Amino acid sequence: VSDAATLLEKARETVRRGRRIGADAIEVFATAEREAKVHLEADDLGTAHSHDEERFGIRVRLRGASGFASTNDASQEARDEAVRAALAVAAVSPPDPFDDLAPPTRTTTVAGLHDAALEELDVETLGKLCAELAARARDTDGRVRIDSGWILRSAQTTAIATSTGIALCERTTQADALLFGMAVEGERVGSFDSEQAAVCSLAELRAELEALPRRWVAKVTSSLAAGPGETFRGTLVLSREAVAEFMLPALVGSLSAQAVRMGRSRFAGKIGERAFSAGLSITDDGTLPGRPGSASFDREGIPHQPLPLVARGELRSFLWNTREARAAARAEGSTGHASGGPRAAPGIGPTSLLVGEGDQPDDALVREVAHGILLSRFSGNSDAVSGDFSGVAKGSFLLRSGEAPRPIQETLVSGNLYELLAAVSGVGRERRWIDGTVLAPLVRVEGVSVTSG
Amino acid sequence: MRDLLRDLVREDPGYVELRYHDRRTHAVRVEQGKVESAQASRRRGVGVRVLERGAFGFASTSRTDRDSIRAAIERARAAARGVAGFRREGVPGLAPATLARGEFVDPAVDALARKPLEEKVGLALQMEERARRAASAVRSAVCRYNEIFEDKVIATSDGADAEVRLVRPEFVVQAVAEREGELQRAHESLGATGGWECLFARRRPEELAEKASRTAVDLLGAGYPDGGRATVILSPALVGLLAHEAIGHTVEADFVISGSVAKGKIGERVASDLVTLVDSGASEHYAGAGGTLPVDDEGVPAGRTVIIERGILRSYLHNRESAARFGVTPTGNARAWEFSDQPLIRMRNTYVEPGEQTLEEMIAGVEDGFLLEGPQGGQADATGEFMFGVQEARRIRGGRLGELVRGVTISGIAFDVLRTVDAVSREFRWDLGSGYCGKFQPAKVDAGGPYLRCQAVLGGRQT
Repeated sequence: VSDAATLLEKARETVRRGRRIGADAIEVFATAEREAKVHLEADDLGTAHSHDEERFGIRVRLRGASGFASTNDASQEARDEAVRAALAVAAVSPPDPFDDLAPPTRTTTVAGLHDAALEELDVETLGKLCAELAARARDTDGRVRIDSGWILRSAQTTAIATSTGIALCERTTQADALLFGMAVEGERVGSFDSEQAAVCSLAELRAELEALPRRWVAKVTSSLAAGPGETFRGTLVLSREAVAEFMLPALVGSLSAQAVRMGRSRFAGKIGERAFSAGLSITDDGTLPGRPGSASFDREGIPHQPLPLVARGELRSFLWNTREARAAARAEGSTGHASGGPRAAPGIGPTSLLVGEGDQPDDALVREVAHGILLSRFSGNSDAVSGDFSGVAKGSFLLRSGEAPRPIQETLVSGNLYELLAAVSGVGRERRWIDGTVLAPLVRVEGVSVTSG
Repeated sequence: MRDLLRDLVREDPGYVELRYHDRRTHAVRVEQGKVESAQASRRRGVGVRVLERGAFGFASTSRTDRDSIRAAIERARAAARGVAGFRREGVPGLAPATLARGEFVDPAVDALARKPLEEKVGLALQMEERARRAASAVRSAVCRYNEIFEDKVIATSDGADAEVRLVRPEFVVQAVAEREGELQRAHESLGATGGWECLFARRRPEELAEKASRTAVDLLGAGYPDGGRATVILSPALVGLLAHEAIGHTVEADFVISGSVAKGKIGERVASDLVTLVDSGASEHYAGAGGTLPVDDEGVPAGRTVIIERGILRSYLHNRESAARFGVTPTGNARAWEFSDQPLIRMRNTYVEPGEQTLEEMIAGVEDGFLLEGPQGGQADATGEFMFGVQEARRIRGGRLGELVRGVTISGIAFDVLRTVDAVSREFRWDLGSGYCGKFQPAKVDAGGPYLRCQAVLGGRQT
């Protein structure tokens, strides 16, 4: 695939040719990716995978309307064809005065996003690391069954060029590791569970490969002894994973400026108000060095910024891209939260989310619960519009004062997420990165309905 | 392309599988009277899988000339050799199969490609407006139209030589209603393997727009159930979700090998004798099911597999590798999402066969329970424990339908729930055609069935 300079030149060339073909304005977002991945399947090494690809996402403006097309064929003919496809889409779309391209903005390079040692990691070394990962899990507890998993190494170059004068590129590396499966003991089959890590350097990958199997084994073996739950209304302690995968997606979805404009957010008009408990603070920050969620510029070429969304319970900001900022006449413009890749036009999304730490150690936060659930993983539905949620508490524990946490199964939890976030009764002080992009503590909330079968 | 791939697999020793995949999509999203996004996408390339020294190697390239594909074959071989020494056991080989040869082309492909994009965008604009104006409480609406054109060529060194062309359109309407600060959302969707007429053959787009708005409004002010074990009648969409999520995944042979709850249960009773559960590459009962495919991505014809026959577990779902391990015939369930994905064991159209009763008879037989319609996603576990969200839950008391309740989730252990089935309707619907299955990579699937009466646990609210 192309090196950084060549990829940026292809993007700029496509901008020049796009203007000649007929676009009033044009943005080309390009990636060149080299991936190697070794899978784990059924407790053994699976397929080894090698993949190289360039992709181009082309957004055009034509008489006030927008069109978008993407291609993974890097030839000049295919890029021209994609420009024409984008123009054909724009030609049948009504004008949208707000969806204009971003202006050039000064950017600063975020450090630690590329590691040459990781980029050079070959398939054979990945295979060895993968075999060691699986062996470490089995050695920790012989009851575990690895259904699947992998170690993935990717090296990516990102480039953006626009007819408004943006011309940027950046090289990054990332490694992901995953273990997925369950524990089996005689006739008892535990719940599926996974543990994942995402890092930017080989040194971090090696450290994660030591710690990840222990965390996964602890999860999957805990559900083997699960017994029946109880029906009551009480406390919910959200694990770090539940904070990252259950609490934040619905909440942050409602903080997108597009959701606000479209009437899909209950937080419209509430900036500056106390919308949550005082213990809750959430910041988005895509400028953190060495984090997989970071980059020197967003999907439109605007730099990311540390952005407090919720500070001590007060709603501080929504997430903005250029289009939404223009539609709302926001003087400060985008917050650098245009999201996505070359296969779609820019959307809005978070980068790295940091939930503020509280003041209680984990064991105290759990010990104080009179009657509740320690929610390890939520398997269910959470509606970002209404906040209503209902689902199964997977790999979870029943909490009763004075008793040891007891693993449970066939137990459903229900409530309204936004009401719960106004009823936070404790936040842990120990935070950990989940999937590389959310820094989360334990969060304790009150007033959850628990139903056992 | 077919000639090129056929030549290349002949040139190489050992097992080589080449899959050219050209995916073209259009996606239109209309919201609040505006085209929020309209996009065209094309992604194509060749995925190469080899079996060497007892290990699979996979490589993919977006360049489709002879030299680039040959280079990808070499990378796949190097990848296989790179991990072969670290495997605990070698791949046991590939089960023999009658591999597909020839062209499998849906005539709807060209017709839908010729239909002007302007008409598709126009329909999305009209239906979004119709949903938004259907009731004063509706605050916003969304209409999405997507179409995926698939062009594949599959060639293997042991004889597969097939070209497949399909198109899968989808249409979704969503409405958000508001009253006194309370927001409720509802959606209706269609998805098919086939053309425009096939997509709207059984429901008109206007019906979807009005139904989504009406449901969102009706959910405002609806109460919550108490929760607990209850008699429920599942709609065809929820039966499909049960068949796919709670049973289908546990019988995928890769999960079985890992120790799923279905392991070792072939020949055992796992459901009421009213239950026959099938996964098929064809659109059984009527045309257009969203997961239809004639040939899987290993070149195996995608046939009909009876998983549960009158309550007895009969078969797992296999690719060629797992079929070799189990000593059975491959079932045509190896599927890859795009050229850069390796084939995994995936479902196609999964369903429960219809029965004898009418829905009215089934409702009349319930003293206290719920009629559940409209899935809102679902997940299942290795244990067979499942969870489904439900958009509309209506109380049944004394054999009559009562009030709407909201925020309902149902759960249970799949085989336990299927043992409680005591009534199955003769009405049958494919109803998850706009859905995607996620198992490390997406797959376009469909599911459905009749109405089905059983016992399950409802999530509720305690005061």
